[in-house]
Amino acid sequence: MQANPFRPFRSWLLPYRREVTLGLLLLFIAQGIITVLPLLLMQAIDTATGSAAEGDDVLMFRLALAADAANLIAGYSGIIAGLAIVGWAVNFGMRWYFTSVSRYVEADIRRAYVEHLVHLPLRFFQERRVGDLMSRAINDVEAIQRFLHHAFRMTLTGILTFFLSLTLMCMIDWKLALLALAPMPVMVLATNAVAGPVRRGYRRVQEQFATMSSRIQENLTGMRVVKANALEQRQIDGFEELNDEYVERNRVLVVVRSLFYPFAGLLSGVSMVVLLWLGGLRVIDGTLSVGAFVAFNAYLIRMSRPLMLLGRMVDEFQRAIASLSRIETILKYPAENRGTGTNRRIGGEIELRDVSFTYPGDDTPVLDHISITVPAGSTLAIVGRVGSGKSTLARLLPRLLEPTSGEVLVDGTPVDQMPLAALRGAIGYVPQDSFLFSETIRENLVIGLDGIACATPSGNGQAVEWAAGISQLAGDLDGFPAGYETFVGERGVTLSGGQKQRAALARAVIRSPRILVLDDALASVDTDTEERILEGLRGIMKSRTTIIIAHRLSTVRDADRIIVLDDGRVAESGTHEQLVELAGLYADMYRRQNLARELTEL
Amino acid sequence: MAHEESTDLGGLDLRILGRLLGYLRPYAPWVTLTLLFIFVGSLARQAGPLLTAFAVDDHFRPGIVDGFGTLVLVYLGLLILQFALGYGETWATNMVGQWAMRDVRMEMFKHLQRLPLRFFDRTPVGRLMARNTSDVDALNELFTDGLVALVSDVVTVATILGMIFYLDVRMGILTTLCLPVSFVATVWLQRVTYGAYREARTRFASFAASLQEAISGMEVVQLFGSEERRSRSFADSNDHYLEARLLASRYHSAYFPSMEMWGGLLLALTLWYGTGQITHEQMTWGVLVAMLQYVPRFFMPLRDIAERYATVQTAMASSERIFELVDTETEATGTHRAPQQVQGRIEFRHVWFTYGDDRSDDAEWILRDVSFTIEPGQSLAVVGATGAGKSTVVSLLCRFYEVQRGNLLVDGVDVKDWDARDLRRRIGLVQQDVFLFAGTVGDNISLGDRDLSRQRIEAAARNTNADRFIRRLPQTYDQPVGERGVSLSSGQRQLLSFARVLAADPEILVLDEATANVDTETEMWIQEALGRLMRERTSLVIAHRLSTVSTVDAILVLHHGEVREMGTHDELLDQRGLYYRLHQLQYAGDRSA
Repeated sequence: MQANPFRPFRSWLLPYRREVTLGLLLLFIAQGIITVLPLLLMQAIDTATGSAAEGDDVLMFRLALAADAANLIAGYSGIIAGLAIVGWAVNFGMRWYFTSVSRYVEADIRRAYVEHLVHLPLRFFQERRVGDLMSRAINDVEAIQRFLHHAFRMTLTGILTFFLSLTLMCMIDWKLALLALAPMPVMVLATNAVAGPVRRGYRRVQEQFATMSSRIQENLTGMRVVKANALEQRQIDGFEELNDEYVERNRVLVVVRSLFYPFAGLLSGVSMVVLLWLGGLRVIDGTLSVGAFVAFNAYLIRMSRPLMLLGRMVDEFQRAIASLSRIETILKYPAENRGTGTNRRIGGEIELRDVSFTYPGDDTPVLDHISITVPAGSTLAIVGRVGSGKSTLARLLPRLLEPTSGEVLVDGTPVDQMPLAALRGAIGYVPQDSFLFSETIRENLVIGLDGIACATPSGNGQAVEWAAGISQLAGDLDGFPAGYETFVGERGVTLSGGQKQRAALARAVIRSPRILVLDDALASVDTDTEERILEGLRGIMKSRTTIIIAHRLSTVRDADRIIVLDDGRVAESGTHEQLVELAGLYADMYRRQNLARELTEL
Repeated sequence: MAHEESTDLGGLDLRILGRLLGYLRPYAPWVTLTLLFIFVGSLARQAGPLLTAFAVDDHFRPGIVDGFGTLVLVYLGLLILQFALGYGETWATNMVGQWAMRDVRMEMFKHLQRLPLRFFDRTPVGRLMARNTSDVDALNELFTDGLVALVSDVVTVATILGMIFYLDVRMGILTTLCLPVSFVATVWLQRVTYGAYREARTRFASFAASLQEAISGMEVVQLFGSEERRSRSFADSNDHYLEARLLASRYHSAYFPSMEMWGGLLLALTLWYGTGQITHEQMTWGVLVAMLQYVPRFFMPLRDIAERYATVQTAMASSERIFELVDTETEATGTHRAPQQVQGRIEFRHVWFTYGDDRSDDAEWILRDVSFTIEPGQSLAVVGATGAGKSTVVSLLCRFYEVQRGNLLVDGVDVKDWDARDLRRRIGLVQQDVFLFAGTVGDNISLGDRDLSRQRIEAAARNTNADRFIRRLPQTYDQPVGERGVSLSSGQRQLLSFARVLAADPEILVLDEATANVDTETEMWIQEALGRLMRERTSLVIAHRLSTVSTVDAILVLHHGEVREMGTHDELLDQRGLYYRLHQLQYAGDRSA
């Protein structure tokens, strides 16, 4: 163990130093009580047998409250009973302090973790899997809690018990103590000797478990192929081999690990034999009292437990340290740059100045030196094939992504030089996959009012209905039993793709943004509804800057300007009529979509 | 949770427990042995204080050394016996647990192979993985840390009680009286914490679910400036969880030391009573000394019983989930076995199909009254716009889903009557995205068929032009692919899957043509290989790109789930109908692509 094993946890424990101190105090008291019990027994027995042998004088316990032995013993019994009750209170307090501190720290870490998480740049989330982040919030925090609650207390108790028992045994008969404890170093050595193979065996088991799990995962994801090729039996045979190997590796581990506790028991048993043999002889020749023998016995039993637990505590401690460092890695990740400058009204002029963007670890740029200006209040449409960089471009605007080179400006100010909250507050963004939370539809729409300073709660009701009306969601809501209060997701109604997109649109519209970004936001909405939505939006779009990304050209034909992105570059730019006349990419797309529409109408 | 016939024992479902114990049946001898070890081991462990009693009475008090050595040797012998039994018990418990878990895993895996595709359509892989990992682990814990430990604790308590009775009946009665006390305390703890725990678990689950959701939807959170509100609401649910936890903790903190307190009180009583008895020569010193050792040992297992019980309870939920999975109805299958020679005649007879409920009035029919026939050795291409139902035709032929109306016949036998696996073995399916298994290139061609010689694998690869790229891989056929191996391009995957089909040599070929663009050279190899594959095989091609259609005998145009046109390429073009337009669309698409 390190010099101070609790150092890494210090900053988390600091707010609870009062509770920790009290807990430690009670722990010492509890230990004191436990240590004194065998002494009381010894006194009582020796009083009764009248066999107080030499060496007992070291113990100052002499009750002079009654002359005769019977009363004296009754007194001892009373003290033991009293201590038992006091001990309960002390132990209760101690456990309570340690448990509650561990729970408080657990809650604090989790709170800090989540608070930090929401302020991390989106890039961070693209690099990590949700499962990994969740596992830190759950398993790692739990490991720390367990350690603080259990191992922390157990380690301290163990150390105290060990030394107190040792001291008292030496006070009773130091030679006997040393002889009886002779097997203990063997135990420590044996623990260390077994630790290596156990750890290796454990790792081999874990590896096999991972192999087995990924085989199951593969089988499940490839189930169609498995069935199509009638591979079931082969898959079963293959899995059986892995499964058997897993059991085999476990067997190797079990063979070694099962030795541990029985062996520890054997060694502490040997100590008992030594005590019985040598101590017994002393009792027989009168140099040790029966009471002292009993007390010695009690201390010896108590000592073996901390030694047995030592390995496990070190293990738990290491696991907690690892967990803490996994969490602190995240906590140290720099939070999103919140921008600079003062809040001000945003007009809505957008300019991209020679902007390029390359995803980390990728060679080919998604956006390749793009320069566009969108005057305030105008509508820009972006079309292009899948992967041509349309969404990437849109994401630069609210700084979900930062350009690799070049600048994005709003109202002539680079976006990273204005307060992030003001920037995002001015943007109504409808992302490609319309993510909704498992909350009511109203709550989902009201999210749009987050981060908007002037949003009044009283106006919410109307605003929600207005936004739902524009995005043509209101009609659908009438069909739901709970209307706006309908739960979205597993607990409630599963919305269709089109309904989700319209809800996401309403969420953006409700903030009455200066800049509206529709990232392929109407793809799952049928053409008639789309027509009506666009009609409704037209009034809003008139005074606002709008960026529409779409596959369906009917969506974009009325835009002030349309650009065609191809391989990260602006291939064509102009109005619908100009581009059709150009007879290029846009004209091709237009012709194809007309054909496709005719086809479906047949 | 509420099954009608289930017997609920304070959260313990005996029916489930019984079923769980069924997994131990194959290891009954080991379980018996374990129990024997526990019994004998417990006796050996509790013999120590008894021997001390003999030592005190026969040697210490009278001061007799004679025979004391023998006593010490007996003690040592018991120790070694304890060691052996303890080892045996731990080993056997762990191994029986491992074996039983292996069987559970195997049963689950086997069962999963027999479930219909519909099941996998609606069940997330993550959930099934949890069944196989954390739930199985919980079962293992239930057995080793729960049941066996519970038995061991009970046996220990009984042994100690027996010893005390043997030494002094009145002390025995007194100690027995402590049992109801501790029982009441344990039941109390169960009652007060059960609700608190359940509450804590529910609160935690909802915390975790909303966190997971927020991480997945972080883009939305940040776009709308909801960071503060979200983290506040997390802080709230975090606090709620903390509250529920603290409530349970308070009871626990009170309960655990209470057992020590009872131990202390009984110890005081024993001391007082014992010395009194000794004074009246009703008890010997040795008995008292032994008793003073037994009393503290008595309450430890009693205290742990509460914990074991909680472990068992938690694991119950896991076993219930596992049983639910294992009880899911398997895929229906017929019994018609494939004859030596399958002709490969495919006939769709007025087939209707929907992924939804076919009985509902507004069922969305994917296929409506589809009829066509492919004679053995002939080829048919199915074309149509996106959503026309093309891929469904393939799924039905492979019997991934059941036809709801009409019949689908292969060689004149309804696919419902075919043995599903026999039928699928006769069909070589090439899908749009070729799924690669972790393993080598060779394994992915043979699909693990060990009877397939290396020569046949290589021949299959040669005949499908796949060996052109395989030979260029550093380890050729032994090159690992998939997640941890090299990644193959979509064209290469396509060729590999052709080799797969050729190696299996089925009578029917079903090709769901890839939509992804491949370079012209690969495209050429693909077309050439395809020609070879289709030769002598009944072929059904789902053509997305129309480039394949020139080689087929007939083309079927699906539109909104209905057969609209059928004929050869030239005939259909002449009709100037749907096919003509599709062809135009393709042409326009090719130019812009």
